[in-house]
Amino acid sequence: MSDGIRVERLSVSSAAGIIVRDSSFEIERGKSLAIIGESGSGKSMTAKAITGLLPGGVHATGVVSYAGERIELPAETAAWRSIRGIRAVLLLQDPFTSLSPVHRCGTQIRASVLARDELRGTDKVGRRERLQQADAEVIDRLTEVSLPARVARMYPHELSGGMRQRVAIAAALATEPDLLIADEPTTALDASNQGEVLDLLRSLQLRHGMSMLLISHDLGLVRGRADEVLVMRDGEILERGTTASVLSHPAHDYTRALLDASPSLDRLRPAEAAHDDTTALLQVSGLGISFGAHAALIDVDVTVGRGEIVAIVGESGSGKSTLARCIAGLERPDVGKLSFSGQLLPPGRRYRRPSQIQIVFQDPYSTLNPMMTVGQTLAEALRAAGRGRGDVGPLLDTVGLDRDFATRRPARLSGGQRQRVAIARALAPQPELLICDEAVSALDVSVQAQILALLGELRERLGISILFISHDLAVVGEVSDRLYVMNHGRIVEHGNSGAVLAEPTHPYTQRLVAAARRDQS
Amino acid sequence: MTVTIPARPPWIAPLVRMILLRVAGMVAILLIISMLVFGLLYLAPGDLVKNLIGNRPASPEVIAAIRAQYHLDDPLSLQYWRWLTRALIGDFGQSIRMQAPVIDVIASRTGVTLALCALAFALAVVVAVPLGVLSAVRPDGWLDRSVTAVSLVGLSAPSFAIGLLLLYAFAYYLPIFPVYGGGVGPIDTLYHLVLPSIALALGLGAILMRLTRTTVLRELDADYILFARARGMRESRVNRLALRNAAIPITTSAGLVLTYLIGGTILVETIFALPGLGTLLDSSVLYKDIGVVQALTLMVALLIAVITLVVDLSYLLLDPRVRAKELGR
Repeated sequence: MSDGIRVERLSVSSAAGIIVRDSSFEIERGKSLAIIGESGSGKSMTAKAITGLLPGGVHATGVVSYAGERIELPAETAAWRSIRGIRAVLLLQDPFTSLSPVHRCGTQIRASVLARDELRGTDKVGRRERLQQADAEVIDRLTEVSLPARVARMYPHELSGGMRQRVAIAAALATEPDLLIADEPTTALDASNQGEVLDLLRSLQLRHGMSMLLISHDLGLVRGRADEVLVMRDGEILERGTTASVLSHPAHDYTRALLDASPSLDRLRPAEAAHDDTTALLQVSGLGISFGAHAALIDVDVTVGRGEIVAIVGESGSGKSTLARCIAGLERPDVGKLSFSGQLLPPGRRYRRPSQIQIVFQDPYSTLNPMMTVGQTLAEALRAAGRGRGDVGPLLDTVGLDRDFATRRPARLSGGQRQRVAIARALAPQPELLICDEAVSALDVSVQAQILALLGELRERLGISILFISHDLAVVGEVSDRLYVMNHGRIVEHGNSGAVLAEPTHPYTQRLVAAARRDQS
Repeated sequence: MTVTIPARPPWIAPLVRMILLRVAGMVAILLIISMLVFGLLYLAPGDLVKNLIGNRPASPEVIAAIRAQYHLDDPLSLQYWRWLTRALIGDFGQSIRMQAPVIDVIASRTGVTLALCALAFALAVVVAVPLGVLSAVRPDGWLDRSVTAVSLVGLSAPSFAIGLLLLYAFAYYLPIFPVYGGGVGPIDTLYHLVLPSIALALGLGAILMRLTRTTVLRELDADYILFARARGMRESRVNRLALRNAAIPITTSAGLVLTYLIGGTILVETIFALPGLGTLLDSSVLYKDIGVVQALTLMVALLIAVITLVVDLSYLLLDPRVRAKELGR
């Protein structure tokens, strides 16, 4: 046990309250532990506390020992000199921000190599020779994460999210740490990349005999990728056990609820009666748009019936958001026709009434004005639709929020509550079509399940049609009647959601479904 | 995994195209400015003939002769056209006041002003940028607090007030530096320029320091800094990473400050009685010496346009994302 890592009685707190309460756990050398929890559970703060990287105003107490080297928290900055980069490295969630945008990928990996040699005192050779050796090592590190040597000369913005995260992994591993802490390493990535990156992390961990602390909000994702699982809620450890046993026989109600809440391809909605195209609310035909030399949409046909929930599925860059923007009039297509309730809908916002189409966006943190109360935000939307502010209360009822939320500002709301407010705002003009552009992607699984239920309920109660845009096949399978699969700006497959997901016919859909299933079982 | 990485397109042609476009824009702006200045001086009160004759009595014939010599009775458009066609071949005419070619008049004054600007700018950058970084690294530390206090003075006090204060303190009570004049020979000139350049640099440095502090502070909060620390990189390296990322806003503000500097020299040169371009511009405007004013304003405008172009080109060097967007790579 002495060469693993041991965390004893770790507590983290800030002025706002206690974030982590009296947590203890250990990871044996060469093993991996997954911490599972939703936002606010304290999982990320645990990772930062044991590497001394807590943000200002947050304090930790407890003891961390790395291979017998004890650090009593709170520790001086100097105490972490022998830990960071040698004993432990923290890999961050978002590869779009964790790499410096103005340095080449190779330079950033080399910085790790040089820091390691300096820390371990193996930098005795001359500077020139050292840089040469480091450059050679950078290539090896890139090969290890299946990237070509050419990436060393490239900047992060030239790479996709998955490749950037691979660069970050290479930079993290170049310090040769005993423990790799990966804080939600795939949450910012496309579904098809998530599995690959997690598998890569697992294989590297086993090959180097490292320990790994994997932090995730998704219990399904850690299956087969961690030896043990620890479930956290509100800063406390609820349950711990081997991954297989926790997933198959969860001991705590919360773990069970988490497992139930995660959308699954095995729980597809029963197929509803096919909608007749004559009652179509929205009809998109032959839509095309290019940005410079890049064709974002090519000959896209989509139909949404009245009271129907239709999904557009695709990875980032597939054109699904551009499609939504064309429908909402935020983007002008080069070719193609849009018709709404049988009437031709010309491009541009000028020809659309608020009562036709509304959008809910992905990020509930940035779509609400932080200076306005919920009531003011909703009243503004009501005014735009010619309704009085007396309707704020009923609007809050519709999305299942208490009426006293009207006096609060967004900063005091959780992610799920904010997204409810965003939905209420979209519903203010009583639109016939609601477009949800990745509207649940930024939410925790349990909150996600609630919002999906709310959307289904709105459809039943208001008869509203919903165009649901997502990269998550399982979520789409749970909520939609029909779906369209997009790849490189084209619709490659469409049909009844249940049928398409159960028996995909296009190779691209087959690949997506296979990736999603692998991540779940 | 199959890796598809787009090849980088060629970049020299777009770069040349961009620079040519900018230069064309600069020429257009210079043309418009020259028209504006010409028109404004024409409209301004005062009479060149009276300025030339002074208090001497003059007969109508003399006045008519002077008016004919300087083509003062031609329509404005013709006068401008005459100036423009000559200026295009490098002939900016005669200074009426000095009775010497404009080029020579300006050339004899440029050295002092250039030296003053360069000294003030170098002083501001060399002091302000490191201080800004140090304040950002330890926000609210003693250094940050004292630098902030000093920069507040630099920001709020106008350069002529600081100039006078410096004169009182270091030339009158403590006679270390000369009170006025430009000095003879390089060493003596430098010696004469110390106080004026400090007076100019304080305000510039204050702006630059505040901006460096804010941007570096923001960069230090970024994820890539956290990741760098998490990999065990030394603090000095981490700070360098932040400064490199903060380079764009700092360069922009340095460029802006430099253009302000050119205007600011007029006041400072007047206070310290330096024989530079600022004092020349001042007296030429009063005298309605159109040739000198035209050439000087165009020179300043050209300088400012060149500085902005250099700043914009430096973005290409500093940020690969700008490079990708502007040059399509």
